[in-house]
Amino acid sequence: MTGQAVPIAPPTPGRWRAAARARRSPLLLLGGAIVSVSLVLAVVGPAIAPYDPIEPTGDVLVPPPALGDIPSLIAQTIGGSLERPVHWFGTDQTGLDIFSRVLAAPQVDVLIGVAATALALLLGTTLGLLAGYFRGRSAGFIARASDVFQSIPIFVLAMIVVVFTGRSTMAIIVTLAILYTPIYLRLTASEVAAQAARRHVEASRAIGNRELVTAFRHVLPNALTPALVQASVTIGWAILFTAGLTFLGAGVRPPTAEWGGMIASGANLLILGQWWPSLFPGIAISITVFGFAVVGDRLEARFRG
Amino acid sequence: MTPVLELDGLVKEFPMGRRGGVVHAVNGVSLAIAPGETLGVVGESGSGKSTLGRMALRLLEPTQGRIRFEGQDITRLGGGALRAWRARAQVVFQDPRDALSPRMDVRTLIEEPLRLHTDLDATARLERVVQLLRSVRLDEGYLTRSPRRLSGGEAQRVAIARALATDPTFLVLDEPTSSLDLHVRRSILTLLDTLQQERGLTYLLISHDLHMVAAHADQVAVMYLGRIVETGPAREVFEHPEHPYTQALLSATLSADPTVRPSRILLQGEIPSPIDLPPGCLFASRCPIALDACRTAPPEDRSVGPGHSAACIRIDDRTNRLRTARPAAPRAAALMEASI
Repeated sequence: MTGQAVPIAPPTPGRWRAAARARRSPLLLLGGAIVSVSLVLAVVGPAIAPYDPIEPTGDVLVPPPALGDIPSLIAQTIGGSLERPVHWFGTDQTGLDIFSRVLAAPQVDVLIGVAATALALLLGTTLGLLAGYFRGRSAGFIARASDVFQSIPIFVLAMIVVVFTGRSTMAIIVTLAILYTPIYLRLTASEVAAQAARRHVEASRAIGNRELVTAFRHVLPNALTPALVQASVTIGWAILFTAGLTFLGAGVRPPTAEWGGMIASGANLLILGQWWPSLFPGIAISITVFGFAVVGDRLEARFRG
Repeated sequence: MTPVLELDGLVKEFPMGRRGGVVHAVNGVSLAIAPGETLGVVGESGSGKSTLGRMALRLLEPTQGRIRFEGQDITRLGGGALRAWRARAQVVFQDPRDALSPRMDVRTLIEEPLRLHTDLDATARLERVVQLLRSVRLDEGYLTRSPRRLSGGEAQRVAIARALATDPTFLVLDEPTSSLDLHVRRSILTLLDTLQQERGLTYLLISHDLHMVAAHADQVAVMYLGRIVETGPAREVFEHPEHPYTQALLSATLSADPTVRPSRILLQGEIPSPIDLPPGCLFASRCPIALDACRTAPPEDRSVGPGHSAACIRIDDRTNRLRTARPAAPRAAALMEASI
């Protein structure tokens, strides 16, 4: 070692720090891209689909184009010389365009995942705050109730609830939200209990804040990280759960474009060698759930240190 | 003149889990602070001085005893009346970076008490926040800073500004400088002295630092295991300590003058557990001059000068002086250090 001063890396401005970190973690970058695409499709999916996702085209069980034809078909699509858009993923037994349906499905699957998670986050963090901050008898009751909830075989329960409430998107969202609430409740309650012992919480009381104001303004904002990090993972689960419910016929009603339902309706064609109706939605689910899980996992690793 | 704060026989017991049993944190403390004065409470960690400060502010409920503030009994004050009273009595904590909500900027932090206790509009509030920042020698540049981006000294100044926002008459200073770097301590203490002069504030200064208390307090109370063993004018107590514990505590501090050879009183024996306190004098187990009579009943306060009293039975026949010893070996010095 010489006595020379070691150059110290210049401090990165906050705005660029996130980008710099993402570059160092390609997995997070990939996950982030998948999440972004699925969120965009949840909004614009049906609009950019070449065919109406629930209107039969008349071409029944058209297989996807051969790999060798794809380049020229792309060129023709861009050139606009085709009479009708290509059935990139083929069509199913009722003549629905599978590519359009795969693009349109996030409007159901991702929407349910995001909405259920948002609702669970809201309920779970609020109850968790109350349970963690006011550690009295009612807090104990909230914690025990959530234990009971977590011990129920949730898939079966969800099926029953959704079927009885009319298999609507709303019913699935509410059911999933209630099922996931205990996760957030626990995460938040334990973090709140740790935060509530900090001096600034006593300082808030000392300046004359009401207990509820202290809890929401001075404790909750510092106790949200574990719950927020968990959100991405839960969205992934919820997507899988929705697809699973629909696959079993207990989810959204056909012919709504939904990945699980598409897999189910194509499943009995597999044996006839018609693999495309179920394969493409299957791949779409896998990629999407992987994306949300990776983002959640990386974020969790980061915040755990 | 009515004292700003009067504590009368305050007791705090913390229950311990399901097995029963209690921790006796504060065991019958009475004191009074005159307007504009500083009362220094000194003692080792675990002596109950912070618990006392919290009870004085009704941040902890006393198990027994009364608290009077400017003549008014506030022991049972609750709900809105208690929250309104908080505008008049504030606190500055030891570690300012833990005492400021991490996700609020300086402006929001100082504004919060103004929103609670005044009906100023946004413009007037901002003006007041800037005034407060100036009064703690900071400028407008700090308004948008988050506590994370403040140094310890700056954070403590913000905490002081926040405490002063509602124009209180009384502040509890709970070890206000012990988490700060040495060179910052003096400037914070000077600031607190100046603010006291300018605003006629009354302070309850909690500290284990005897030099700091000697320099900044008018009155001093020495606490040991939740009891006040000696109290009086700061000068009196530090120059003529009467209680053996005070004598030992003072002999343990190092002089700034290197030519003065420290003469220390070596304490031996165990500190009693606050869960199971002995019946007599709490200091008897470590007191070099304890008698059998010390262990039977708690000693009453003896007046040893104007406003100066100590709780030791050996004062009665003037045999309460401890023999000082020079630390013979490093081990002995370390032993004494541990007792501060």
